[in-house]
Amino acid sequence: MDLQANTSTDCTVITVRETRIDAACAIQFKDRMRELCKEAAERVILDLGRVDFIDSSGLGAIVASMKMLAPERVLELANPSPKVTKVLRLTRMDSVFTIHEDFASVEPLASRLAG
Amino acid sequence: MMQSTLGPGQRLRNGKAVELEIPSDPLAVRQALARIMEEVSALALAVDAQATVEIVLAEVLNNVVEHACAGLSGRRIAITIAPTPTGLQCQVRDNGRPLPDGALPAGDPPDPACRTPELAEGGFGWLLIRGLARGLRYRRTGGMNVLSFSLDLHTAA
Repeated sequence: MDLQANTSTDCTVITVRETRIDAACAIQFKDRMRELCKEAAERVILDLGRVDFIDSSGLGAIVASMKMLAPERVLELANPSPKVTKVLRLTRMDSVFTIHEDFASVEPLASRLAG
Repeated sequence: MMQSTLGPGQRLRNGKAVELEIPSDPLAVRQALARIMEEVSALALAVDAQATVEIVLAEVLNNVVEHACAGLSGRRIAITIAPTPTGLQCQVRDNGRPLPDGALPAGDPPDPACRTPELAEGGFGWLLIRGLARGLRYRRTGGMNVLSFSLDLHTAA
């Protein structure tokens, strides 16, 4: 599961470099998130820009990641695809996560962190 | 986009059903979904309707793998998807265990107001299926689970 983290003092952007978070990789996703969360800043943004699809197992793994970080730290989502947005809306998780729809809202942050 | 040979999507577009049989395995489900979405792509559906197809089939197939067939070896899943005037008629059959109580789970929505530590990590599957599929019917026959439903793809979900 290819996840990459970029951390500044107050924020970690985790980029999912996969097209799916589904039942076939949900455990790997959760394990990798657990590793990355150890070093993560107070605010963690999961960049889903490359993810086309998540199923309920993938969503469960994202929720589990949020719970790993709580209560001191928060997990936010960025750049959900239309399919991911639909899953979040139908499961009402869109009211649980802060979701950044606009790539530009995170991209400057990510590139600043990478620079 | 015109295709001169019987490529992906030709069956559905010509009113014929797509049939697949796969082993009960998460990677096989992923491959089957890719194949189905390739077939469905030629129907030129809106992105939202494509999402409906992939979400419902993913959840139905994952349920079979993770519940009906969990821990059982050599189980198979058969999928039939047929075009209808308004969308798709789907049937999924497997030779796993019957549904508990022989009935479909309710799929109650999780309570987003609950505090983070109590927030459920599962139970989203039936919520998605019930929210998107129409005419859900389950029966157990000849040692097989048979789930059928339709997907309305020409109106807003």
